[in-house]
Amino acid sequence: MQRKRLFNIHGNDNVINRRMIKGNVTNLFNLNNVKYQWANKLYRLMMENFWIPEKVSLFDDKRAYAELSPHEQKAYDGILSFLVFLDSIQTNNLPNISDYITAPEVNLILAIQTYQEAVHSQSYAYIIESIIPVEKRGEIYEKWREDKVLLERNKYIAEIYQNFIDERNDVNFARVLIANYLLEGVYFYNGFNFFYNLAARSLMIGTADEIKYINRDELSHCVIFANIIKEIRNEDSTFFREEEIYEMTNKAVEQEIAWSNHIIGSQIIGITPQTIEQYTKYIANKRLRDLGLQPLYEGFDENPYKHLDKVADTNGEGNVKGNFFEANVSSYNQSTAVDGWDEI
Amino acid sequence: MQKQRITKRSKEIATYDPTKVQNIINRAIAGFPLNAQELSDSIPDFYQEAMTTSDFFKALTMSALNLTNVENPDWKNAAGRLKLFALYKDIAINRGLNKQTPIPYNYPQFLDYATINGIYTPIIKEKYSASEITQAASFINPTYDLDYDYAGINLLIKRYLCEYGDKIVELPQEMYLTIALLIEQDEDPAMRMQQVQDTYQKLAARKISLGTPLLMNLRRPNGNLSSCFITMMDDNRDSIFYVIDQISAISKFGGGVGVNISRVRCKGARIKGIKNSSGGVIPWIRIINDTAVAVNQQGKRKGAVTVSLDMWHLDMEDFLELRTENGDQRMKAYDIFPQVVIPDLFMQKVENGEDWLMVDPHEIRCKYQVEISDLWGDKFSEFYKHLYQEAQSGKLELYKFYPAKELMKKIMRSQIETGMPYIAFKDTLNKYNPNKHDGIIVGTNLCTESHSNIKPTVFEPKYLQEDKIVQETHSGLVHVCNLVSINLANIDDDNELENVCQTSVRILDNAIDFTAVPILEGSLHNRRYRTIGIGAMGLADKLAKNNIPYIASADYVDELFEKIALYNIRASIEAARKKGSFEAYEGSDWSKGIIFGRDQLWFNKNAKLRSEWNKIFSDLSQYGIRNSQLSAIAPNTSSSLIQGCTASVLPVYSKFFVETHGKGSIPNCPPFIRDKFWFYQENKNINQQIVIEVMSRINKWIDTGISVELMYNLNRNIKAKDIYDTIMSAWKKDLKTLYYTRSIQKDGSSLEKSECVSCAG
Repeated sequence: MQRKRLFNIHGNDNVINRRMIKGNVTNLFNLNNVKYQWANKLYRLMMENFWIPEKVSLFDDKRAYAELSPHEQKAYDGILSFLVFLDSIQTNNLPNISDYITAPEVNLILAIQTYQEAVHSQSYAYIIESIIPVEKRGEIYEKWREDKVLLERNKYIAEIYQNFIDERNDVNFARVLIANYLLEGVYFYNGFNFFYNLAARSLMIGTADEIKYINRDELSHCVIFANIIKEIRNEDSTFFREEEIYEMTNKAVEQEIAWSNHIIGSQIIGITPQTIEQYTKYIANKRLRDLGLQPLYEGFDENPYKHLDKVADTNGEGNVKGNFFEANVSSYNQSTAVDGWDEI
Repeated sequence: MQKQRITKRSKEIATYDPTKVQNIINRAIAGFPLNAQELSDSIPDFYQEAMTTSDFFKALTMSALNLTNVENPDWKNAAGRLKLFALYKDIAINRGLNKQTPIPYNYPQFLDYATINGIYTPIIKEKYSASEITQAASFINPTYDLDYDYAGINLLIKRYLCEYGDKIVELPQEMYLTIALLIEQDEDPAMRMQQVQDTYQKLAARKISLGTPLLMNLRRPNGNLSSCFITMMDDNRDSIFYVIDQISAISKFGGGVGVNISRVRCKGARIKGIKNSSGGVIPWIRIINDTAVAVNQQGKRKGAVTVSLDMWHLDMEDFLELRTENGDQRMKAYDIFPQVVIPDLFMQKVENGEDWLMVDPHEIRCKYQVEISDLWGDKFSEFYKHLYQEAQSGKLELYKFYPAKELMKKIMRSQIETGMPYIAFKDTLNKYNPNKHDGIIVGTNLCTESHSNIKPTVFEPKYLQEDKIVQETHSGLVHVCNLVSINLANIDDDNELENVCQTSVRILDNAIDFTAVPILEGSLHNRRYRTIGIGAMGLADKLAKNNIPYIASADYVDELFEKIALYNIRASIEAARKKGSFEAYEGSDWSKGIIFGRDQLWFNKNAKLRSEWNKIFSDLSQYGIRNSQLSAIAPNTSSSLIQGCTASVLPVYSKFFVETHGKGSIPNCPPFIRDKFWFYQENKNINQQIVIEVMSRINKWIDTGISVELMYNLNRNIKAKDIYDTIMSAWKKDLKTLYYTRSIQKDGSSLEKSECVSCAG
């Protein structure tokens, strides 16, 4: 594959000619001249979703952490380790993808995505510093050195990304895009649900609030990659092999289940190996459907943690009512979400 | 299930007994149209080999809770009972009873235990004889316990029931009876046991909801009982740090604080005549912020402080960005709840598209000998217009003109992004102030429903007297208010409503006499005004119960609150007949025959209960009134959970929602949802102008204020103009304050959904 030029003087910015990859644009941003309208909508949404981690108080969580059972603490620490890894590698790798995307409107939202992943890294640092006892903080960042399951997982993702950097061909790029989609769409969610499970049991409410904001961002990232993949498939039906999507999804699901069992185990009230499997396959099916593909796992169409969805309220149904002296009201938009300021 | 064992409390491993579990489930669902099978089916989802009985029942309770939906809302009540049974069991063991005792109440014994161990204040045993205690114990009716849903009982356990040695030792009805005994401690001995019974029943049957400090602290030794405080800073270091100390004292005892900071000079103001010396109000606000975090409310919740600033203050622009994410983080205070104090003149300038002038109070004080924050109404307008000319002709050093409308937009933007600032309409507040003969209202409390005259404490210079440092201080006034709310969801007829109002007045007026106010200026205020705040909750439920949609409720609500106002005033006049009026009565609006800012003629023209009001006016002139302010409608976000009703007087938030607060997230729905589903209207689907109209009808009958929350559902194509119009009509309809602004975020996933549909296949 050919990496796009920074400033392509032979480019043609006419939207009729625009392609998601291997196109020929000047790489100037002209937001009045956009082919992929969904990218514009996402741009606005992601800007409106701006947030900063310190606004959530973790004051009470510090006390609550000490009251967690050893199993809960182990899961809490372990999931944070994995999330730290996920957002680190995303921040590093997204520019590699953007280098080969030839739709300026999509480059723009990938830049915001990169920046949001950076904010997520900062929020983990904030959580770890505020809550975890000082002697344990290093362990969370270093956990992959001792935990073989975690190391294998991290290596698997990193290798797919690395392969494309080392050898920039279509096959490797397709794999990077799928891996990215699965990372944003499958890998995070058992971890997120663990925090919502705690919150539903009145534990670590501040952490759950941080996670809600991260979760909201990740959902938009998931939409970005679903759309990129769909557009490429529209423009070149042979670019992705369906079997590969299924294989990689299956591998992702296996790893996610194994990891969740390893780190959460069966010692947390409300989470069992059965619900982990049910949930992971349910979410994978959903992601496949969003790509316009058939689901992979028959009979896994029910979310076993439906009650936690209400806790998370990431889809803005306004079902979470916060007592704002004590909790953060999850609605958190920039005022640009409202139009008509000049009409007053 | 293949695995069949369970670990008992005694650590002994026993065979899992499904019939026992079935019996408990049956007790939990008794009287509800629920299918026990649904819950027992969930057992394999969480059962683990040899799990402890305690973990088993916890998980069973969560399963029941998760079955809750609008068709089967009673699962949340069944979950509440499961939680209650676990509490009964813990307490039975703790009290050394046979653990099979299903209901372990024994009040006299518990009272001894609680008194000896310092859990309860010793006063109960001092004031009441043993036979009175035995009589009181007979009032207890444990079946009230079965009415709590999960959110209610969970909150009682987590926050209110007394602990000892890290264990809950008190039962809900013991809590209510103890509170009733304390409330009536100084009443006429011939009457008081009857009154204890009356108060107990109204609390236990959840007709009256006590403010958090009363419910939490009254029976504990040395607990503060007031919900709200308002204080203010003078423009000097002594006063500033004194007020910060007050804030820490109030927070320590669990009160919320309002503090007005408008007298403090602005950024760039002169200090001791040197130009450009002051850092303005923001650095002080940051100290208040950190004080609130450091001195939390006895570990139960973070201190909560609203800081109010007048619209003419030159630091206003920084103030409006106190909680936004952008900009210098050293100018932010994320734990503070900002409040802007707005005069009518500002609103007029917004409407007329004129410029607003912002000035430095210190410069004005030095040049014109006027304390501008002490002015309201015509006096303020006149003086401000004069300043306007002075500024235009270059006679002021520090000032800024800014388009009033743009400032209003800044307020609105901040409200959308952060839910705040609250708005206090200063001229409306003072126009309806019954004590305007005695001072001025400079701002409002944390929930914006309670306010009265305050003034700062003033300090003389310190001097040494031998080895003592002596400083004389002239006490100011700090607003103090006790709150209860009438639970309209549980009250059906007017007789009962009047009884409930009478008991409410008695509870709050009595509480004033044994409130240990954490700051002396508050005691002075209590004596002077005897301000109490009777509110209401469960209005949405009452409307649904009577098949009235919220959007068509204005006339009904108007009449209802007229009755409540009448009953409250009648009860307070009756109290004055027995015990005398508040100290500052002479010269107050009450003494002039003015109620709610209106004279008797107005009532004869506009009220529904004319003859009753005429009687009130004649009784008032004869006996005076016990309390200078009586009503305040609080948001009661958490106490409504205990009451199992919709908070405050707003429409229901959602027909099914998850309540988040400091102690967790719990699925919930309003109490009559099963039978009255179609009569509940969700706030997120109601035009907020209608909410403002209903609030203004209530407001007519409220002598302090209402916590008016507004909700903008951004998915419904809300324009800035809609928000602007809502604020304008709130002002024009004489609402005194606007509380929190909630916005429901744009549905991020709708993009996903619509793209899915259009691109599918």
